[in-house]
Amino acid sequence: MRFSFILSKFLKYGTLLTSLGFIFTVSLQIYARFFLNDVPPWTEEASRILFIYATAFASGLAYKGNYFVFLEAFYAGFSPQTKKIVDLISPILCLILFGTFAFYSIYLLEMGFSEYSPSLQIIMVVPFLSLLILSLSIGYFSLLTLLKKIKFWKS
Amino acid sequence: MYTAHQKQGQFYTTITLIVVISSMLLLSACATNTQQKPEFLFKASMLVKENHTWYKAFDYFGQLLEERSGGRMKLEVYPSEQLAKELEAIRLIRAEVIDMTISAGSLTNFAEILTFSDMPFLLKDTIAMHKLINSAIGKQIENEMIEKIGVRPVGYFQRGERHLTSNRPIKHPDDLNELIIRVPNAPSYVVAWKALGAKPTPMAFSEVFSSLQQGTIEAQENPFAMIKNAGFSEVQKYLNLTGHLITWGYPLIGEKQFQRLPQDLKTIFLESAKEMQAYEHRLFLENESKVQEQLKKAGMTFVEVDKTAFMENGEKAVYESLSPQMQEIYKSIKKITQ
Repeated sequence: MRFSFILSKFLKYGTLLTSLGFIFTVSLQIYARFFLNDVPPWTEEASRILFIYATAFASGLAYKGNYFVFLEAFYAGFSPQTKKIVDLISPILCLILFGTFAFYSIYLLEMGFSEYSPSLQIIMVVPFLSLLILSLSIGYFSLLTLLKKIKFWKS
Repeated sequence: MYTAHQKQGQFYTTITLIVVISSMLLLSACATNTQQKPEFLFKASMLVKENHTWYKAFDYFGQLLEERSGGRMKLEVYPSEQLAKELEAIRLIRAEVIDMTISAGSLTNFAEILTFSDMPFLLKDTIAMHKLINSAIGKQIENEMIEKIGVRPVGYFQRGERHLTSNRPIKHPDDLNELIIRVPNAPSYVVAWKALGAKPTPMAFSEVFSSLQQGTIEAQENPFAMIKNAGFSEVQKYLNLTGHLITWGYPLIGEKQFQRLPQDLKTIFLESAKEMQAYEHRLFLENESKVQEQLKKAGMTFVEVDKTAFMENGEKAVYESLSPQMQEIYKSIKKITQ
């Protein structure tokens, strides 16, 4: 439970900081376009990276807090037994999907060592790392959901 | 408690869902079974639409490959970034998910020398471009693409010269006077236009039209075909013939994918690629003159500019923005292309 708490805090502050950073870079870009002689060329790229990170940090929290959109048209018509199966299959599929996602994002990270971003000139491992954060956090919270569902249906 | 009626409803919902999913799976299985699988199937990702010369050239290339290999090789071409954007396509080729695309300037992110394929004020005309591509430096660029990036160029497609569009005529760099110009997110563009006296703003291409409409930017620069396709004639009056960038794109295949081919198919592949290049060049020349006429008809005024003044002011700034190693190559390119 302590790990969950620390992870949630990490994702929460990550979302907050990257969102603020995103707002700052976009504001700077707009301000520079109208009032300064030079528009810092790095703002375009920095805002993209910060936006990606904000999404990556927030996705795990959204899964944990059940903030994703649900398709309930079929679910509502299911029998309790079918609902039970769907409740168990859903986090299992999520776990498989984001587990696979995490596995391939490691491969992408390896490729990122030989690529540089055009403006900031940072190695692409930095933006690619957001994919690993996203997949691992959603994977972890789907595992917790699965365990909760098993416990619920057993009781 | 569930009534018999509710239970019947749940039963029918579940059965409907199972039938729908099974039918979809069955249909997709039938679709794949009816097509015979070739020995080597290549998937190409295209940035451009189906009416672009690059797509037509790849389509022609696919026909050549299939005919000459007796169906052992097949090429599937996906236009309009259906598979991936330019940089993502390169990554997917390296990961062996797809096999081919067209790129050049974007590869600077992987190998610095590729910066010369997308550098403003470097080449004065297309003859200089052909000289560079076929020179020792051109070969060095190709080798670095294979060794550092893992993609093999199988030819090159000339791209149209880039020109400046605006709502006031620009004949000389002095006319720029802090004109807000949209440039791609590449340092050489920013440096060059800043040195000329403009105010360059990096911006995604998809935002350019609305930004010109709203006055966020006052000008942009692109080749004729791109100016026409994006409908910039609706928001820009003057097409200033700056020709400040002569560039090209390499049709690429993943090196691992290429090396998997047996020798006879490698030969067919490379020979067909040569024919594709010639075919595309013919289409390109036809298209360029057509597009210019269409832009004039759309109401754009073509403005002749003092190219020498643009070149002199721009090239110094671009040169100074390069690393010492690239500055040496720059000097060699200038010697070759004189």
